[in-house]
Amino acid sequence: MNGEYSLDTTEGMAASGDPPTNNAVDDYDAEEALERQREEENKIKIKLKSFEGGVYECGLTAAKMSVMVANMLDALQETDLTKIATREPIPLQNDAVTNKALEKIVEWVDHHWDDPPIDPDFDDEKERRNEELSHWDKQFIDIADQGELFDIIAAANFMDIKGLVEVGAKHICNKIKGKSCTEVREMLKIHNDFTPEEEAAIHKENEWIYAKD
Amino acid sequence: DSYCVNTYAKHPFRVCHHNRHHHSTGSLSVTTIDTIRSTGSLSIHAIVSVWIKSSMDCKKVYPKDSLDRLGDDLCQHLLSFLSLEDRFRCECVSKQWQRVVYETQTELTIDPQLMGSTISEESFETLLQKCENITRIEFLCFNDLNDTIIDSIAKHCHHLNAIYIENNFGLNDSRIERLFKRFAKQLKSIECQDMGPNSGDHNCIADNIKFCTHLTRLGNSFYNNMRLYRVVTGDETDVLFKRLTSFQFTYSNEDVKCFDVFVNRYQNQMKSMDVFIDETSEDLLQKSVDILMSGLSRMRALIDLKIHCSEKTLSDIIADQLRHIGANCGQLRRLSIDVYMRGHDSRHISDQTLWRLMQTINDNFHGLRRLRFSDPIPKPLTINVNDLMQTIDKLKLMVCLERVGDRNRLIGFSCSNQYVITRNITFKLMMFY
Repeated sequence: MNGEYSLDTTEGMAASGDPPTNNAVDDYDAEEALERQREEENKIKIKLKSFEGGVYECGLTAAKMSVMVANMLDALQETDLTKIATREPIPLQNDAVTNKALEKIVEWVDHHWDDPPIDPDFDDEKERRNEELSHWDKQFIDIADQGELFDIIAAANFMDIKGLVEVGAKHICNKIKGKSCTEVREMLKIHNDFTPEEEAAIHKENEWIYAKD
Repeated sequence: DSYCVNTYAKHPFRVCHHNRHHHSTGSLSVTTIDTIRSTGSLSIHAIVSVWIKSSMDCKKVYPKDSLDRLGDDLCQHLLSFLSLEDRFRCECVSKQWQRVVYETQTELTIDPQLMGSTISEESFETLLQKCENITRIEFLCFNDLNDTIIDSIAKHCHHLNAIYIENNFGLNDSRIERLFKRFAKQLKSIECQDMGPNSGDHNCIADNIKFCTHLTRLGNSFYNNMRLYRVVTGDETDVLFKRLTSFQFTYSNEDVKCFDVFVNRYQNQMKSMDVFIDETSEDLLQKSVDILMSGLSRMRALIDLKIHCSEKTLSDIIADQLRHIGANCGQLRRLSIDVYMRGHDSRHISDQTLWRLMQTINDNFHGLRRLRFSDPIPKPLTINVNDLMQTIDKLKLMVCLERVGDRNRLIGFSCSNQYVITRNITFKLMMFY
């Protein structure tokens, strides 16, 4: 019998601790099953119809990234998912959902449908907020026609696709960074509805920020 | 009828409609869904047409390429990624921007960069009035704090629930007292880092912390943190922080006794533990580390564990003791091991220790999802991804494996790609320098 302290603790722990759990294996099986189901469901194509009438096909899992589409499908209470594919196209009744915008949105969800899920136990959400856009997203959202860009953002917001709205938001904030309010107004075509006096008053309040530059 | 109410609760059929100027959120009421159901035809068209009718209201025409076309809610969200400085520069863009641009500013860092010579006390007060949703304030190395600044914070930051203090000697006892008097009841997170050994500040915080009954996170890396630690372990007060789930602390020989009390008190609620094993001043006894490790393995709710220690302690003691934590804490999901330099110790985790650790972890931590090693000056391991995959073949839930150097530079299991994705695991790696 060895009198070493470390051995004592070892034995103590073995006696008092729970037996090693099998949870990890169960968790793994459950996650695998879920992932397979998502993959299978994404092979089912559903049709989305833009405000202008264009019809676009999209994988079911990808389409469900739109909370709005997911809720609509839920409201249908269709148990046989394959039947959804043969249904009439889902109309997206908001004038921001143009043909071009919907085409881009379908492209985005098709690329992102298998993104790793957010783990609420860790700061995933905060980390993602602070992360820079990926190379793919940057190229995706770098759109010359500003009207089209706003269509996509407004349409993504209407369809409740959180990730895509965030991509648009980061893109716009990157463009604003370091610019003066006149430059921002010009770039984003914003109408200045302040009187010169009001504007001067705000400038005076925020004077310190200009002193820093 | 209750059936419909339940269905509604489960599938809140919420439709956001952002029309041109004013934002409205239309949602289908239970009775509307009920009506549609009763007609027997539950088609998409029926559902859609109902809410279109309810949400087509005001229309004002804006050019397609003007941001003015977006409603307040969306605009506020879009601007939420701006820095504090950009927000102040952009307030005067339009009335809509003035309404929304400060709403999403929730953090404030008080450091020389913000406070410098340019911002007056009045401007600082205006800043706090404009940013009324601040929940977290960081006091960084800025020693010219004055009472007016603290008064402004106490007066205007109604939503403050997190304080972070780092090397700030401007926060003297009376100012800390003032902050706690105002915010103790609402504070959820208090973190104090790197206060010098002669700083008296921690005493004042320790005196006041017992009033923070809603505390969920307490972090401190004081050189001399005994008192604060004992507040939590109950040597000085009997307050049990019922919501405390995250604790960061420094551990040395003297802490052995109170650590046991701590474990007994918090073993069923503590989710995140971050321990800095203090080997800077004296020789740490192996027994002390054993007690620490056996205590940690009794933390039943632990999902996130971070250990800072020297390479010697890691290879001598922890690499062996770690298996008990793995065997007993099946719910653990993230493990981080952070090696710091001590005297002439090795500056990186040796290949041998790393392999031993990987084996122990592979054999005992089956539920682990994230594993992270960090060493001050890491030496790249020359292995290929297939070998790496074999060392973690039992870690089926693993999603992220990282090896980082000082200041979060990614270093490590040297491979040619920065991100190698195999079996859905993201290895965060970097080429050697």
